[in-house]
Amino acid sequence: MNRLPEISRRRFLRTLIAGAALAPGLTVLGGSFDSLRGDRVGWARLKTPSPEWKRHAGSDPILTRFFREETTLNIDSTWYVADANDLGELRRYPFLFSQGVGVITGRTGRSNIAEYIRRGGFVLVDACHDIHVTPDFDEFLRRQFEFYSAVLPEARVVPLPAAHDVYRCYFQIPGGRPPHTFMSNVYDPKKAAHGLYGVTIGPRMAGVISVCGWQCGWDHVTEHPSPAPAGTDVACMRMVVNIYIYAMMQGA
Amino acid sequence: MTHIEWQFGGWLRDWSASAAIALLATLGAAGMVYVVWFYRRTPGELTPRAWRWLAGLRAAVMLLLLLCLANPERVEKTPLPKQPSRTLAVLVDRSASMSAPDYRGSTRLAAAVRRWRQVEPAAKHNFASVNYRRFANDVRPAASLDDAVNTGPPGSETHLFAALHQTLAENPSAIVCLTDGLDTSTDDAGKFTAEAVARGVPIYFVPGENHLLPGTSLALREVKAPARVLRRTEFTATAVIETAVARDQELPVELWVNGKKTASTRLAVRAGRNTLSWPVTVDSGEPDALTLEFRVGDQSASCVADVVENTTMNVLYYQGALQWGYRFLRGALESDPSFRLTAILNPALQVQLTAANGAALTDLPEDAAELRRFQIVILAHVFADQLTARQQQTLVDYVRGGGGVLFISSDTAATEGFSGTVLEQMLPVIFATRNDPANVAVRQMQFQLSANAAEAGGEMFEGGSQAITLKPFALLAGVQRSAAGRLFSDTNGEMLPQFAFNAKVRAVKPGAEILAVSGAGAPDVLLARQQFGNGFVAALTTDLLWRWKLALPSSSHAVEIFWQQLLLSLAPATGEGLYLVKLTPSPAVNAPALFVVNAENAPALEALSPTGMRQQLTVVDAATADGPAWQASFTPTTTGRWEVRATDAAGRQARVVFPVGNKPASAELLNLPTDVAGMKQLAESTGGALVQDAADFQTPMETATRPPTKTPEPLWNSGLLLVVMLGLYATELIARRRCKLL
Repeated sequence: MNRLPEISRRRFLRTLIAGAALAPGLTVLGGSFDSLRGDRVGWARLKTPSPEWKRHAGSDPILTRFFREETTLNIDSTWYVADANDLGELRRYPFLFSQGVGVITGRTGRSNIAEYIRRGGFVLVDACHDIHVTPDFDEFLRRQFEFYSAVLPEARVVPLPAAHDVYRCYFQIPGGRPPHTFMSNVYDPKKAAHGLYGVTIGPRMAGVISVCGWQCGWDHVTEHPSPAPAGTDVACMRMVVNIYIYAMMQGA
Repeated sequence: MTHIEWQFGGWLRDWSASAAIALLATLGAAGMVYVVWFYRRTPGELTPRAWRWLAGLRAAVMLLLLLCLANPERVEKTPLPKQPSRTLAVLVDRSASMSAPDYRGSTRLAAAVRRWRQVEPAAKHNFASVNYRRFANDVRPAASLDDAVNTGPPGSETHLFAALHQTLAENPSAIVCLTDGLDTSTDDAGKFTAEAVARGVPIYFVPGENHLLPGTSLALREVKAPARVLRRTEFTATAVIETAVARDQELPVELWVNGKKTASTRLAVRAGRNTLSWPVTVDSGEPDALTLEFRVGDQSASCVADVVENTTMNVLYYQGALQWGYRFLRGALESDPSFRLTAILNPALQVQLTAANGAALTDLPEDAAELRRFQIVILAHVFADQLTARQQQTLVDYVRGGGGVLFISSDTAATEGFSGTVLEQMLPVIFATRNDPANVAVRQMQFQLSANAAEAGGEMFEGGSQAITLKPFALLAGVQRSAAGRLFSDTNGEMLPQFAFNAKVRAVKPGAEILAVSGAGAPDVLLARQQFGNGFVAALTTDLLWRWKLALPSSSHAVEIFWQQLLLSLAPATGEGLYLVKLTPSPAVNAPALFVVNAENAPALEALSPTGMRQQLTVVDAATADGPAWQASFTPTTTGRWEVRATDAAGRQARVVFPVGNKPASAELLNLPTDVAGMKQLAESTGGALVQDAADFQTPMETATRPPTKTPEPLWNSGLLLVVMLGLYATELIARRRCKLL
């Protein structure tokens, strides 16, 4: 007698969940998030003088798909470019993702970023965990802090405590600690010790700085050379969703 | 007694029961055959026991699914309450107005009785018993029609609605009332009419008419205005006028603000007694004290409203879908500390943020009282199915009571969902329905644009550039005339809001004010506003303008000014102003005239005679459950125009000016004409009629055969059934896994 091929436990659970998802569909026909979306917005990366500014950008649609599946945010699946030297491009997006703003040294780019933030924009900086891109995480942070203190003197950069809303406003982030990814999955306690840093202007948050390497997580580069801990990609995307939603809920 | 039945829902409801059951049985049998066939050809080795279990589980899920599709409904049939016996109650109006003879010596009572005697034999034939009562100040039983007509003297007042209410309580099959339709008490006719309609007892009026020379009366009863209003907003001042006239006519009324006439109209007055309310929308202007004086005939009444620079504005923000607008709106309001924002963010998504002040709300309240602490409610990109019917009704009640609502949505698909809803009733615009061909075309275009953006595969690796054109608001000519129009009064190109997307509306309601449109040609309405009850509602059919904020220099405050001014234009006036009410309709010489004031603390009252003599009045506490009140009275000593002034502890002043005659004129003795139209309207609303000849009186036989009311309630869409189905399905999956079938 021919047997059906063995399937993994993960696949079995997925099948089970898919089945469970069918039944609620009877009562909420047509009630998916697609019918409850707000006005459309794009996910944009900040183009800086760094050659690494769009590293992992090709996988950003994985993140935007996650946004659409998990929230009612009407976000495009495409990723967009916002050049730091073009304020007209920056202002199209309320939220910018960046590999780091410390590399912006030109006067135009620096004043544009400052003006963008003063108008109400939000910048999320997340360092790639690859040591060829970010050789020293402490040095990386120092350059971001210096950037903000130079171009936005009214801003303060403060570490976010574990009880901060950003860790629980949508998904519950375990322990109030942001997830980290590590080069070749080798744990780096020095890197892991860093939490998140908020860029605040008065009571409002204008940006977040992290060295967690979330983009490496949703790009699945952490799968090589050995598999990353299960759920790393989802944990990274959840953290970004939380920051995004937190930014939406703060006054500009 | 309630009777329970069962029926199928959905498209099966229109089928006969046998056909529906046959179809379901066929489908069920086919499902069983499929289950048996499916497990017979399963490649794995199954024991008979496992086979039976798996097939049973699959069959159970399928039968439950079939049950859901059949949509059984529980139907509760409640028959109307049966009449204990066919009893006719006949009420005879014995008030003074019914007994006053005209120049021929004929009274209204005699005329009504004459008409009723033509009908009485038929009534006695159709009803098991006919009970007579007479009424004036109260209701008393009578042995017969003659007894009701001849016993006792005429009463000094007519408590018509009280008498009808008391008779209805005895649940007769029908009521016949011989009257001139003039209720001289202060009872609420509308309240009684609602009760009569609910009870389903038909009321027949036999009108009593004669040829008395009719008299007239006029009294400016009270004026109302808020104690404090915000600068550059609108508020409502209201005059309540009581008048009685012989024939339909118009009554000229005027409002003077700080000595300048600002509004006037002619109110339609119908023959008989009228209580007229004239609400006037007043521009508050800049901070000052506004003296509002209403003038009607030879009477006037005034009060004062303080226009203030600012006050605390509590705003409730309810968001239906995640969007960036909230961040920028919040920023705009937080720049002014007088705005306090409470947010309900995506209740379905359960976004949790620490409440900045006070306890956070998790959802829109279902009780208007809970909304009272907010001056404005903003509904931002809400979907119709997110709000229960009760929440929508609560919002309507909230606005009616003086609250302000700002409805914002740029999504035509979302606004279509509100078409025909309770919420739409109060909005200044009418949304298109889902089947509107124009909107279908727009949606198809939007879908195509969205699909094009998603299919731009080349951008996956190179990054795209999102180009969204911002379009400016455009103003309609004359928009600056109102306070709301001043939203844009100081504007230049930069100050005009710019938007990216907007929803389509089908029409703007009559009376609504269009504040902004999308441009030239056939523009879309972007911002409209209207008064609803005592509050204001605005509809903004664009996004929340966050792109405009990002497009402006950080030094610009245009966005903050726009949002703050828009909300201020919807803000309700605060508090209740001092007002003085003249309780005596027609004061006369040597008869006490009574006044009441609504102040918290004892006010000072004085009366000024036509010759300028002042008399301080003593006030006594007359507080009721409705609030504080103080009463005072004085006795005029001469005819002419008298004035009474009230001044409260804060120095606010209200006054009434009224004529004093030689003798008191009660409504009963004014020879007011018979209110034939009012009786006809009330009778027809209850299923009765105005009886002017025998043919008008028809026994209410139809009430006995009226079908019972039905209340269907779907049974399948319960959480329990869902859990059972999921449980069975999961059990089957697990069992299949254990049997190596997965």
